[in-house]
Amino acid sequence: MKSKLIDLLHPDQRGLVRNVKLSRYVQTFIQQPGIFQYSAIDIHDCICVLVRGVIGVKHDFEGREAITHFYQEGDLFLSTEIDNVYNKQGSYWRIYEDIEMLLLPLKSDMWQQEQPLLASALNVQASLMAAFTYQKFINNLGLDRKSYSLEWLKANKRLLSLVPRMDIANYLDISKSSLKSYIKIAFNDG
Amino acid sequence: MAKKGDLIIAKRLSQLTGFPEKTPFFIEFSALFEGPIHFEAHENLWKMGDKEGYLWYIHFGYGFDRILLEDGTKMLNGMTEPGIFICDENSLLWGGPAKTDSIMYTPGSAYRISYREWKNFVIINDPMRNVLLHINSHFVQMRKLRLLKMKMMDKVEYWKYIQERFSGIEKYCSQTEIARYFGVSKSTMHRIMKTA
Repeated sequence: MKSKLIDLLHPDQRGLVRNVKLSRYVQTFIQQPGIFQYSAIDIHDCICVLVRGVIGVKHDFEGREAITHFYQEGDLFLSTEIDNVYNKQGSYWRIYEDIEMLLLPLKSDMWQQEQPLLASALNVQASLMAAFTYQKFINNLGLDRKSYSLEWLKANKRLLSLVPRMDIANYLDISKSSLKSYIKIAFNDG
Repeated sequence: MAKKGDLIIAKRLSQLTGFPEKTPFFIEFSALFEGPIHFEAHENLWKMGDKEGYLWYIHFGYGFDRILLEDGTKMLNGMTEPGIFICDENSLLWGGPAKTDSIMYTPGSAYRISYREWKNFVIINDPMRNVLLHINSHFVQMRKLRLLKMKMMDKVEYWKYIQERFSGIEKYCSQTEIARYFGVSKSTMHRIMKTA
């Protein structure tokens, strides 16, 4: 968690986190495959780091389901995208493999009182990061579909055994038949 | 510095958050912006590699910021339109030179605040920091919607929708640029435009 927070902070702010004992403030959450259970933990304003497992981020677009990205081991992400207060696109986390994640609640009183400077800095960076992350996914759609898909499949072979083909095709923005042929190409190339 | 009584930024923040326009920290924040700065068509708000960064508020005018993709091509990143706050987000988050550029395609007017002033203000100002999450959540929703429209919306309908938002876009942007914005090939974009 600490190294991920260091990466999130602006270089001028990174010193703020070095001597902080995060275990006092961090919670652990475990869940089996299925839809993320909001009732199981307070997810409001949290920075999350996935220790193990796979999560897909799904949304509702005019009654149709879409998947925009995945989180895997070591990824830092923010709960803002599924926070009920701001969630106009019905976004939710779909867990494909048992997950263990660490959560740092940015609005916890203890955290804000004991680490005021770091809490302020992380609040600002996290809220900027929430929007910036989605721009990256938009930009990925601007890349050539075939070469992006082939590269992604090679780098994420493990997901093929966990995530339904329909979801992978939707994520890559290609048809199921294109996915089938790209899988053949990706793994027959040696 | 903003002119005395110029509450353009405060007014927009009020629309985004539901707080009154005269909220003291909105007025204080608004006063930190310099402007209005007027632009002619094809003038840059910022260029790739710029070391001094600003957060811009677009009062009127249209344009795009563009990003260099991993494959070496430039993509229209996000539309610049009235009421939006824009900047090179990578530099705002982590410092360093701008990785995008931003160009006005029509004449326009904008206000700006340096990253340093912006950061100093939000770090020390509790109430402003608390509404920042709310403001950025608005932009997360916009981005999510753009991503979902790119993936899921009928492309002809999406093209009509973009034309409504930025009237005359095809006069200002090349077909290649527009195709990249839609995540399709140039020939597909040509077909979409013809069908519409």
